[in-house]
Amino acid sequence: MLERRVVPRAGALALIVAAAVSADAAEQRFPKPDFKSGYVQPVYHPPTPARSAVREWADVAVLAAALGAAAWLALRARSRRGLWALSVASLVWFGLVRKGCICPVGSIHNVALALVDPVYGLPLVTALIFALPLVAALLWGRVFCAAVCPLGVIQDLVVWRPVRLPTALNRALGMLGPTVLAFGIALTAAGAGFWICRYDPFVGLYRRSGPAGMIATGIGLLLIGVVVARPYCRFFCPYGVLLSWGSRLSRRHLGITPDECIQCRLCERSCPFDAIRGPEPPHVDRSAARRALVRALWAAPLFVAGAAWAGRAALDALAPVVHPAVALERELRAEDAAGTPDLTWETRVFRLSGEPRESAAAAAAAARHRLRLAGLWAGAFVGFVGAGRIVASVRRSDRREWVPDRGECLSCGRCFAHCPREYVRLGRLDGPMGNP
Amino acid sequence: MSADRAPIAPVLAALLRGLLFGVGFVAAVAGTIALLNCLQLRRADPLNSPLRLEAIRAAQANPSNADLVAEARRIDLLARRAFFASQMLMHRAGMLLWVGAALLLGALGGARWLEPRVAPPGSPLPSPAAGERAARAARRAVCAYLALLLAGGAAASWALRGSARSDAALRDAPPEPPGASAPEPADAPDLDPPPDAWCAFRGPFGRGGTETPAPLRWDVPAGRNVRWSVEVPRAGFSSPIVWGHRVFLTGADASVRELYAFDADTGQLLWRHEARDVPGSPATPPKTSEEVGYAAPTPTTDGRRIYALFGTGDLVACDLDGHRVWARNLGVPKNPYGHSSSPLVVRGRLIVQFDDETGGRLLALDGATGRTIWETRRTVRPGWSTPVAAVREGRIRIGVLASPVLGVYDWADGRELWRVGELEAEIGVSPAFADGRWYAGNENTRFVAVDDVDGRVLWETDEDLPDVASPLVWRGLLVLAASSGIVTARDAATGEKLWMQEWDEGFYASPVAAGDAIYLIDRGGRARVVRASREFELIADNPIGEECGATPAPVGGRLYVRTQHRLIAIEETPASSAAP
Repeated sequence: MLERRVVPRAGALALIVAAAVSADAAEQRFPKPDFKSGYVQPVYHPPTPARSAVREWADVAVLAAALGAAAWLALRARSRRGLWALSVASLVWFGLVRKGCICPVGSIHNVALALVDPVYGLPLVTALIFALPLVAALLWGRVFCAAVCPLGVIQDLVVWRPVRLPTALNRALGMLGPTVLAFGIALTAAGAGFWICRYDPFVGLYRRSGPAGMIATGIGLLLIGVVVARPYCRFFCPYGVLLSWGSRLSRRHLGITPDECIQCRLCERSCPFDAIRGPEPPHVDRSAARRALVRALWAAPLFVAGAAWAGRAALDALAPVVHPAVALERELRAEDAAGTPDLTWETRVFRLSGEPRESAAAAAAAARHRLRLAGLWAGAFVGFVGAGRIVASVRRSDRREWVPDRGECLSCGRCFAHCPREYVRLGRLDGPMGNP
Repeated sequence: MSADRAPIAPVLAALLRGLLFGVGFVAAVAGTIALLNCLQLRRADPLNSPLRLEAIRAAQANPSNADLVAEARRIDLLARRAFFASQMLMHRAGMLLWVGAALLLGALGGARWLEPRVAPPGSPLPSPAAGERAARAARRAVCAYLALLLAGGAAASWALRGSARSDAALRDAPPEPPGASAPEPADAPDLDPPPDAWCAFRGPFGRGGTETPAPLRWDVPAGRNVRWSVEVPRAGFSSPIVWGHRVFLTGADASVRELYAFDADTGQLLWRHEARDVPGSPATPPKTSEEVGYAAPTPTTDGRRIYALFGTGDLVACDLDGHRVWARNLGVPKNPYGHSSSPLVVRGRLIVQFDDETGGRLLALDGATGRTIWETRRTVRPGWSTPVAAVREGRIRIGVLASPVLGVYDWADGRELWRVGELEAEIGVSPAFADGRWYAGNENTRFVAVDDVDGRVLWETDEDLPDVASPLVWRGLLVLAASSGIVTARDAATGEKLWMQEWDEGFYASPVAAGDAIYLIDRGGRARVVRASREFELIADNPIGEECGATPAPVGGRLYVRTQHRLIAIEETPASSAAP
């Protein structure tokens, strides 16, 4: 019998390699043209990274070391205190010193751009920053979220009185992450910029400067995080979606109890993220379950098609807001009609450039087309994820004990810190313990 | 096996396992091929093979030799074939890898779904009905989310129809007058960039001033009113320019020439662009004096691109994120001290004054492509002055000073409109324009005020003239800061001397103005702030703490100063500005 997670891990690794290879292929230059024509093919000259190569590689090394330390603390040492200390260290280094600049969340944009833009070369350091936490998730679960991610640890430190959200609300909010991921990538692919970075809520706090909206959003999320633990990580983080997929296939994962589950449910109460799953009985009415499954499977294509249409319409409507070329064309047209030129910087700069007016219209039309296409795919993806979750909810797992949900568990270690069996293992309680 | 599994499940699971083995194998093979191909490409790029490059060089050197050309074409064709074959292989392997990996995951998910599981006995279970309720709630929640998405799409679609109507209304608006879509200068005589932009040497179009006040008092060594101070990676005498939230600067030495972008709020170095691989760039840079170096010209920007010129004659255009748009070499400057004239972008055209021992050239390049739009040859000596733009009666004019003439040229076609002679010297000073008058001159020659209409000299002087710092005309005042340390203010209309002040250190940085204040930074690193008035009034004497030869940029309520090694942003805090 094939070990259950070997092949999926191989598949996920293949996906990551595919991303790297595709990005590398995008770096390949077009051939130089025939010398006889005198035309010289332009060569792509990206900006040199602002930091020295040594320091950039040092960042990668620190990230790798932090991931390794987090995995060791969560899986081997089973030390909640150690994870907390590492969180503080990550907050200081990745947050306050590096100012949130080593950011796998934002690197989604770079990887996406490298895949769609043949002239954009993905720096190896960025590719590694993107890939390392994913590889770690495949090996050990979401240890990056546990104590390394500066966006996560700042929220973790303010969790005070966490409440359990109703299942329905939790599931509905859980769809936001895939939506942010899909539309973030779609906007990058359409040339509209790096919108996930633009709405990074905590980087402004780390840099002690930024737009007022960004700072206010960060503070607001921290306030909400007092009672709804790590709201950005659980409901908005697009990179968390990728990590969640990786973690579901992980080779090893943090366990709650060191040996046997005594069904005390202390772990469930200790988890502020609703990521502990209890025993799941089989269906009461199997025929009803089958009917639900059939309905869900029938409805899946409709969900995908409907969401694709909605995504296309949404990005089409938002084009003047999200894409600078469309915004410029719209503003130019409005100014032309009103006879009030140069009301904005952008129109003024465009008119000063002396470029023909038609070029702005052509660029806007091309941008709109790309946005529609990207919106279509993004919507289809969200519909697919939603349909998949509906189908999955029909399934019963036959689980008989309390275990972390590999996808949603952030490997913070609170559960094993509350497990009585862990106390027995550490020699702080006498065993054996029975059911409460 | 659990009793609720359909009997077909094990068969399907076996089939899916077989499928995933097959797909996994294909994906692994494809990935290996792609990686090997990638490694091979990195080791031996056919396009850069010495054989091909040598053959092309030989053919280019002897274009009349048909055998050489044929041989080069044959080798080039082979290289292209190898390159494209490799690219195709990479593309197909990448696609196979993606498809294989996706199928692999899908097949595995299916296999796991159908896999029989044995439930451990004896564990107590919660209420089955509760589990069903939770699952139903989850399904409904996701359905509700997707329904919300659909409703959002419908609302967006409805809103789009509304905006399409308004777009149509705009299209139906009265036709634009001819040329309104790309207005001629006559339609837009005001060429000012946004108010918080300082987009060239001495600011927008070389005017040297802004109405927005800048800090009056600071102390860099003590850190008072210093928002940030950062080290500049490479030295240079170019001055900072500002657009939006970015400060741009150049730095260079004999081996590396770079353009830098700093965050205006934090001083963080955002990116640096090395001006390498510029076609025509000399293998050995020309010799320059220590007081000029390779990064004396200040970059310029139009908000779309930044243009940076270096002492090697390399001209580079980058977008605001540091990606190169184009680059070309204007020729290696044969200049006894090195090239220091800064480019100036005006309405999409990059104006470059390129005066060296081979003669004078005034060029207008297309900002988008670098193509030469016009080039005007001039009989002048090597110089270090920067062109200035002005608008008169809807026409853009470019003022250029070089020994021995001040010339004014039409921006549209490079035609010389008029010239004033008898300005023979080593000219390092740029001209100035205000109120329909040009001002130009240099130490060891005369300084003239010239009527823009006909080039008539209105007044002239030869007292205490600068030889590096350019004149400032601000609020009716002409301010000249000389290398000897003497600063003179004259009535710009009549030339009457209003006041004179002498300091120990001379001035290389050109005076600039912000609001009512004029900023004079001497070479020793002291910044005097004086009132722009007909009476001398010293507002403040501020230490910078380092030698300084670059012209500061007063913009957005801040003053950006480049010293020998650092870039400093000075900003008054409310508390300090309230202090006496």
